[in-house]
Amino acid sequence: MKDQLPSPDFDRSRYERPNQDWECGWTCDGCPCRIGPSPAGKCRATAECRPVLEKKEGEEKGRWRCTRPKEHGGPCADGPRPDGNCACPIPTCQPRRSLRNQRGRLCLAITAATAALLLIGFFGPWRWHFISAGPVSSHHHGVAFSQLRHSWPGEEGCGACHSAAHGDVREWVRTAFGTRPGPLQPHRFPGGATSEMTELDRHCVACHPGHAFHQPNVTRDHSCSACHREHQGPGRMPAPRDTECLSCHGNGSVMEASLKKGEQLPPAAFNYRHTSGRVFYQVPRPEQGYTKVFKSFAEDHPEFQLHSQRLTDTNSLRFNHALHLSGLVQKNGQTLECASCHQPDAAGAHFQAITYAKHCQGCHALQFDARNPQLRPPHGDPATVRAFLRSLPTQYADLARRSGLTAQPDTEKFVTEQMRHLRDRVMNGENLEQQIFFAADPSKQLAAGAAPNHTTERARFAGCAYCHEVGPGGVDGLPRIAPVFTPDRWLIRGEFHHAKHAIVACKECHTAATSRQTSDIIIPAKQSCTECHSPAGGVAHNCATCHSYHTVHGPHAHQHAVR
Amino acid sequence: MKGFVRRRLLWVGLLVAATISVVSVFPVWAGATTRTAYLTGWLLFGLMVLLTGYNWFKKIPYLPLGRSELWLQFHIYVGLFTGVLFLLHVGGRWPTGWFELVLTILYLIVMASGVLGIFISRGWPKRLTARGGEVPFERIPVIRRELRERAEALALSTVPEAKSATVAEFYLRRVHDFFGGPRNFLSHLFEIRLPFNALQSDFTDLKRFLNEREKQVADQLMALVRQKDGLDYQHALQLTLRLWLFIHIPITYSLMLWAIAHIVLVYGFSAGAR
Repeated sequence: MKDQLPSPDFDRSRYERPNQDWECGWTCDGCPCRIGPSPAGKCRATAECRPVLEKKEGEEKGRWRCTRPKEHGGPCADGPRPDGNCACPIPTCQPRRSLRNQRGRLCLAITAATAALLLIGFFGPWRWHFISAGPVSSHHHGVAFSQLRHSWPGEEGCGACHSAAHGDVREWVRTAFGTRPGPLQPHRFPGGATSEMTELDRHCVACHPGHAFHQPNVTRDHSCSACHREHQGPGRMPAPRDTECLSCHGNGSVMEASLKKGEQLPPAAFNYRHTSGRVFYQVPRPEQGYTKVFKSFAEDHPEFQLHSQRLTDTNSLRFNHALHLSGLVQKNGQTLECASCHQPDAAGAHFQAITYAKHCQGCHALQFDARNPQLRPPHGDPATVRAFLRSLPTQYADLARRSGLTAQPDTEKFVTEQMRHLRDRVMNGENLEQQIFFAADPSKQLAAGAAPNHTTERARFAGCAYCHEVGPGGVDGLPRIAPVFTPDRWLIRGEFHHAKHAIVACKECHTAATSRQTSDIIIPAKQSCTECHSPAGGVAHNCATCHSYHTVHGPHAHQHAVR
Repeated sequence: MKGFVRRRLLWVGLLVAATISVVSVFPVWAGATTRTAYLTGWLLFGLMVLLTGYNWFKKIPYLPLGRSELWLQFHIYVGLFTGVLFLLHVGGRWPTGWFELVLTILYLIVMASGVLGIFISRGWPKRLTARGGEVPFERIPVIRRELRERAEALALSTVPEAKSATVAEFYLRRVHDFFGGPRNFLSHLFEIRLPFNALQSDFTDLKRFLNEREKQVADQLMALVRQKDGLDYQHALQLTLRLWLFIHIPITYSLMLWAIAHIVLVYGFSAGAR
C-alpha cells in the first residue's frame, strides 16, 4: 500500500479524488474549475482567484494583486478590478455525481426496489405463487386435490401442509422464529437427531393415517418429509435417498433396538399381506430379523434370503426346467424356450401366472386312450375326473357323434368296440382310475396301447402322478392331489421389473438350463445383480431402485383421509 | 512476480483443497444428517455476508482488519468457493418456484459479474499497458479537450496559410464529432479497428486533393486522431473496469435481501422439516 502513496513532490491540490461524491460540471468538457463543488453538490465557482490588497508604506489605497496559482496560468494580465474583485469570473456549473456516488445511489435504489418487490410479493394477491417453491408432485396434484385444496388455508391449499400458510407474513415470521431449532440457532443443525417427526410430517399423517407401514419392529417413526421431497417439479416425487434408509440400516444401535423390539413381537406381526392377484413365496423370518447393518447394496447388503438360507421350492408340481429347455419342439414347430411359458403381463413387470390350460396342455394333453386322443378327462378336480371315467360309454358315444357317426347302431358299435379295447388293456374301471391318478411312467402305462410306430409331438400322458403329488386320503375314497403352489414373486421385499431387464437374456441370470429339480430356486443371487447394479456396473444401485419403505404389511394404512 | 505467483498458487491450492474437502465430506454429512440443505445454506449465507462485508471493510480503513489486498484475495477465492456450496445446496436442481428462481438468478448474476470482474481486472491492465499512453481515468476529459483544441487550431490554420478551406471543411464534416467525446466504445472493448481504419482511409483519400502545406497539416491532424483513438481506448477499458461493479455490488445487496427472505420462508414453511 505504501508504494501507491504519492511521492512528496506530488501536487496534492491537483490530485484527483474519485471517492468524492461530486465533481465539477465542466469536467466532461475537460475544463473543471479548480474550486470544485461543495460536499452537498453545490457549485462554489466564483472567480479564478481571490485578489489580495498590497499596501506599500505611505500608500493609503494600496493595490490589488491577482493570486491565480501558477498551475492555472499564474496572475492574469489584466489583474483584479479596482474594487478588489477578480476580473475572471468562473461560469457556474451544475455539478454532477461521481461514478462512485452513482454506484452508491444505484445500490440504494436496487436495494429499495428489492425490498419493495418482496413486500409486494408477500402482501400482494399473488403471494402464494410468489413464495411457492414450485409445483407439487403428481401425487399431490390429482383431481381429488384440486377439489380439496380450496378448503384448506392458503389460496393454493398450502395450508394443508404448512401451518404458516394459515396467516400472512406476520404468521410466517412468527412460525419461522417459533421453529426449534430456529433461524437463530444455525449451530444446532449439523448434529442431532435428524429423522424425527416434525410439524410438517404431522400434516402428512393427517391425510395418510398410520405412519408405521414399514417393519413392525421400527423403533421410531421416520420423518415423512425427510424422504419425500415436495416442490421438486410436477412429475413424480424423486425417490428417497439412500441416506434416509441408511440412517437406520446403517446404524448399529438402531438395528440393535429394532432387533430387541422384534423379539418381543409375535411372528404373526411380520406376516406379509398378499397383493391381490399375486402369489408370493413365503420365506421364514430370520432369527435376527432384517437388522444386519450395511452401507451399500454392492458391498455389504445381505445376500437374498433364498440363497443365504438355501431355501427350496416347496411346490408339489414336478417340473424339470432343463428337460424343457433341451430343444424340445412344440406343436407349432417352434423350439421350447423360456418365453414359451413365461409371458409378460400387461405392465411388463412380471409374468402371467402359469396355468395348465394355457401353458401345459398343448404338449401335456390328458390322452389316456391312444386310439382316441381327442378324448381327455378334465384337468383339475379328482371328483370330476372320476365322474368322467364312470361315464366313459357316454363320453365315447359323444365322441362318435362328434366324429360323424350319427346313426344309433353305428354309435353303439363304436362305443362297444372302444370299451372292449379299453377293457382288454386295463381290465376294469377301477384299474383305469388307478392308472390315471397314480401312474407316473409314460413308457409303461396308458400310452402303451399305441402303435409301435406311433409318433406324436405331444408328450404321452402317463397319469396325474407324472406331474402331481397324488396320494390316498381324499374324500369319498378319491385320491388327494397336493395343491400346486407356483409363486410369481420370489423376492417379495424388493421390486423387479422384467421388461426393464429385457436387454439381458434369461439364462444370464437364471440357471434354468441346468435345473432338474422342482426344488431348485433359480432366482439369481445378489452377485448377479451387482454385476450391473453397482458403482462398477454403472446402473442404479440405490435402495429405492428395489425397495419401498412402505412395504405392504399388515392392515394397509396408506389411505387418504379427507380433513 | 515470484511472490505473486506463490500467493496465487497458495490461494488456488486452498480453493481446490476446500472444494475437494467439501465435496468428499458432503456424502458423509448427507449420511449423518438429512439437513444438509440447512448446513450448506447457512455456510453459504455466512460466506456471502463476509463477501458482502468486503465492500464495507474498505470504507473503514482505520479498523485493524488487515490489508485490503488480502481481503481482495479472500473475496475472489471464497466467492468462487461459494459456487461449489451453491451447487451442493440446490443439489444441482434448477428451481421451479418463482422465488427461488429469482434467488438463483441473482446469485448467478453476482457470480458471473464477479468472474467477469476478475477476468478484466487481471487481463485488461496488460492490454492498456501494451497499447501505451496510460492516463488516469479522471484526467481523460482534460486531455481530450486539449487534443480537440489543438486539432481545431490546426484545421483553422490552413485557411490563411494555404488559402484553402479543404482541411477545415473535412475537419468539420468528418473529424469534429470524433473529438467531441469518447467514441467507438464497443469497438475498443473488442479490439475492433474498423472505425479508426475508416477514418484513416478518409484521410488518405483527402490527401490526394491537398497541396503540400495542407498535407503537412493533415498528417499532424491524423497524429492527433491517433492520440484521441488511444485516449478513447483507455477510456473504454478503464470505464468498463469501473462499470462492472455497477452490476456486482447492487445485485449483491439485492441477493442478500432475497436470501434473508428465503431463510425466513424456509423456516416458516418447513416448520422444522428438512
